[in-house]
Amino acid sequence: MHGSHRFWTAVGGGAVLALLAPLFGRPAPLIGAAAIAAWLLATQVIAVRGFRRADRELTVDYSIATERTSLDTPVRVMLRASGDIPRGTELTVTAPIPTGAHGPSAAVRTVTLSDDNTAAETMFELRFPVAGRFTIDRPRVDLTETQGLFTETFSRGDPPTVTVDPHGPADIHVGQSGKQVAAAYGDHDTGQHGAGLTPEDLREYVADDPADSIDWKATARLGTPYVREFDAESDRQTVLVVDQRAAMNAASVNGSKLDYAREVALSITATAIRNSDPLGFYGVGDEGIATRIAPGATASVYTRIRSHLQTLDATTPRRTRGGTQTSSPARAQTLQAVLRTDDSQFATRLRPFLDPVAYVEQLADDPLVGAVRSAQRRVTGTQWTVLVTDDTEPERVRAAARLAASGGDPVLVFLTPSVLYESAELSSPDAAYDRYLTFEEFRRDLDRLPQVAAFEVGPGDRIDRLLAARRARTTSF
Amino acid sequence: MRLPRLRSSPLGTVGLLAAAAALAVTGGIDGIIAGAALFGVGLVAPPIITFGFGQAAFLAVVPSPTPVQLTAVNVPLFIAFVGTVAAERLRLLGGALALFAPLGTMTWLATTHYGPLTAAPGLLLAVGLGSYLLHRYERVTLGLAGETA
Repeated sequence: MHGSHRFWTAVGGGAVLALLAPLFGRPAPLIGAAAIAAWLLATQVIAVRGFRRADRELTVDYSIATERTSLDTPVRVMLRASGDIPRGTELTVTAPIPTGAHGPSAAVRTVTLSDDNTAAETMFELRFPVAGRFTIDRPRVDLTETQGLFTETFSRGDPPTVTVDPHGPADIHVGQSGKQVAAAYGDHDTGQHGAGLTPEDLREYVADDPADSIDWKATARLGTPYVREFDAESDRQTVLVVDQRAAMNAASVNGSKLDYAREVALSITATAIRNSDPLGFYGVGDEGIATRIAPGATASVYTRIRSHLQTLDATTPRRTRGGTQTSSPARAQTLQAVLRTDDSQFATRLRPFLDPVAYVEQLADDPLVGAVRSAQRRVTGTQWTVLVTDDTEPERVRAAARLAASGGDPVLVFLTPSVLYESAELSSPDAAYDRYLTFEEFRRDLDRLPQVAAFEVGPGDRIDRLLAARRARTTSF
Repeated sequence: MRLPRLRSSPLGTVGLLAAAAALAVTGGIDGIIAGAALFGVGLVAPPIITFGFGQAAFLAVVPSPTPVQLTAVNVPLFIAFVGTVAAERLRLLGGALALFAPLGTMTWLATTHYGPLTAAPGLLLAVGLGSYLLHRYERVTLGLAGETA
């Protein structure tokens, strides 16, 4: 409970009267001070009762139209407040704007309730210029009593959350040989019985069964010893290796290879979160491992991985030449900031030399294979490796997949075929189709490796056009 | 935050007239002048200023009032002070008068027994403590006790 300026004015008036009494040696001003005190206390009692009743009666519904949106897309938010507010009490409910988001002025985001207005609602739009997960603060409730002497502020309602994804391609094809696959990654039963938590079946006791597995209730009920079996459960540790080298910058009109790779990686991340599976992440740059997040199943690990994916940019290879002087990181960052806004040819040529990526581990020879090796070194037990890369260096991809599967662990490889991200396809459909066939041979070759499943990832409309061109060529012969 | 507007009500005007008349009756010629001035101030100034002015005027024209004189001036002045146009006005007036009766009596008794120098801080302390206890009660019952007040 807070006193308004009106309250403090009254307190000041009472204090002055109380001071006048000893100053003049008269009791009369003190009686005036007592009158003001009585008025303040009576008002406070009424305010406390009013505020408590308002809080009891108040219902705040704060909802957001979608829990998932993309950058700068308006999200509709609705704030509804209702309640039988005590007479004379004014109540306003204001929806806050999360840090980093844009929204209308407070007047638009505020609803007011009074004794003759028991329900009110407002709708407005929020825009998020930054990708990430936002938890919107609970609506703020402001109460003022009838005399305007006391106010109170608190928060009520449930805080909605919204996940903002970076702009991604709309028409994603994930499949094999031009055919879309429904799900390559999902829930994973072990298909085994054993120790676990979920009761599975009852069977008769046989020799060598441990005594503590006997289900005594079933045994008593059925007259012979029975054993309760449980569904064996295990967490699947997944390591996500995402290629972010310069080659992933190749782009069609729908988006770059990296945009599509990001969507696949985000989808895998979402599945891992849903299943509470431990998830690790390796971002592979031109010079080595740009990002390394050790596998974990905590919210902070998931948030870090998702955040990295949402802001994932392709790296640029450094070109070192004899006699070149290296700059300090601070100097390089300053120059990078200056060059970023400069579109001149000079700046464009210079920019790659000031690559801001700070590598976790330099792997100049083969970053992809090196990243897989690094991931394997740090993992004990079974792990799924998910490689998201392209087909520009088939031998290295094959080596990375073979290495990941060497321990008998399953490997998923998602490939972005270069032919689907080049404009040449438009001018020469036949040549493009031949290149697609070459890619397909490579993908099948990968798919044939033990424990490896390989998929193509690309714009769905381009795949359709390629296959349509092939059908047209076949029918014309 | 925008505070509700306080305007004079018929009850407040009646209280103001009664306070001015009480000043005139208790203070003679000076009281009539003080009463007229009080009425004028009451028409233009906020209630707290009118109340303070009334107390100062009463002190000036009746330096040593009897309890009857004190009550005759203070009660209508108090009604003028509290009687603004606002919801719950009568409830507030009733509550304030119910509190004023014991508080005023105790203050008067404390002043006559221990003198104004002891009674004044005693009054401020007692009212401050009562107000703080109400504040804490409200914070606890609203579940805001752990938050910054």
